[in-house]
Amino acid sequence: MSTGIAGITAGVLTLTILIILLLRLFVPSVLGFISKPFWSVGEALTNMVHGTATTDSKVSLVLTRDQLTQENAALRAENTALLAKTADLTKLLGGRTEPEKGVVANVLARPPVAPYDVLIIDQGTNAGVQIGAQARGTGGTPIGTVGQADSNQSRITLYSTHGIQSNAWVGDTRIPITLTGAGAGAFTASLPKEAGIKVGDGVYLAGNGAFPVGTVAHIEADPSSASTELDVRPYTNPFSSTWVTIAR
Amino acid sequence: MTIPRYAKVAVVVLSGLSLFWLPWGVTAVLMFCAALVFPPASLALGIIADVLYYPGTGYLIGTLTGAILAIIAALVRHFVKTRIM
Repeated sequence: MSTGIAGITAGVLTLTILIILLLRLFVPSVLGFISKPFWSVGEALTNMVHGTATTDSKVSLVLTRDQLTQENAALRAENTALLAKTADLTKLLGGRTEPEKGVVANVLARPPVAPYDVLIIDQGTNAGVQIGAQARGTGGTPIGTVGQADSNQSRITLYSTHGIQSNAWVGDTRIPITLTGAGAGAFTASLPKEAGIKVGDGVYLAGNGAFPVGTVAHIEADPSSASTELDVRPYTNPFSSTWVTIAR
Repeated sequence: MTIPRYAKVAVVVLSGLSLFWLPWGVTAVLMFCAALVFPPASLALGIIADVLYYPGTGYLIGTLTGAILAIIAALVRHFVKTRIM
């Protein structure tokens, strides 16, 4: 590339980046308005590619299996949540029982397209989304909190973001643990060996009730250590989330 | 061998679109290809990735990736030119 063209290109690039940065800083809703069609086209293309798979094809079978697995996980999560809620309500007679209000939002972008563990959703402060509100996926599984919100779009920071810690309980006896995000929807935690946790035990996020987030998938016990390391498999896969509910 | 200008533009445009459509790993590869055409392009794309997705805490992965790719691509271009000369 000649020096003149390179200089012009560099100038145009710098100007574009400056404009984008200024938009993000001062009028983020405009940036959301510009970027939304691109994400929507990407979503449509993905759906089109999936839609062209014939019913006999391997791809179609894999898609159906994935869908059923996801549905099964969602139902399991919902069932676990209901069981936990019933147990809590039985203990706390007279507690609040009315359903919580929420905002249903479409997911515009998610990992692995996004380099961070974030979901970009198409609802913002105009719809009642507030920073810090909890986002829930299929089956009411908590997946993260609203980290940033503008008028028409919001960013949800997933609990599974690498290094993020959340208070949780594990097992039927609700042993308190600290869940640490391991990226891509997974979590890790450590607790004493004598806790008696086994593979398949439910993991609940502590909060206004017990919200199931996953199950213990693997327990690593080092003979020289007094504690065990747990790998938690989430109920909700952030890579395939298509909609979320934001608590109000 | 000279790469046609339309191909260079296509690589940069494709890398830009991949920020919205393709997994981040693929985008990073395309960013490197764009950087080979024009080194600052990967830095620009990295900044745009952070503008779109940065959650507000942690490292600026997009910008850092873009900067590293730009440096590597600039070095590659420099050494290729040196070898040819």
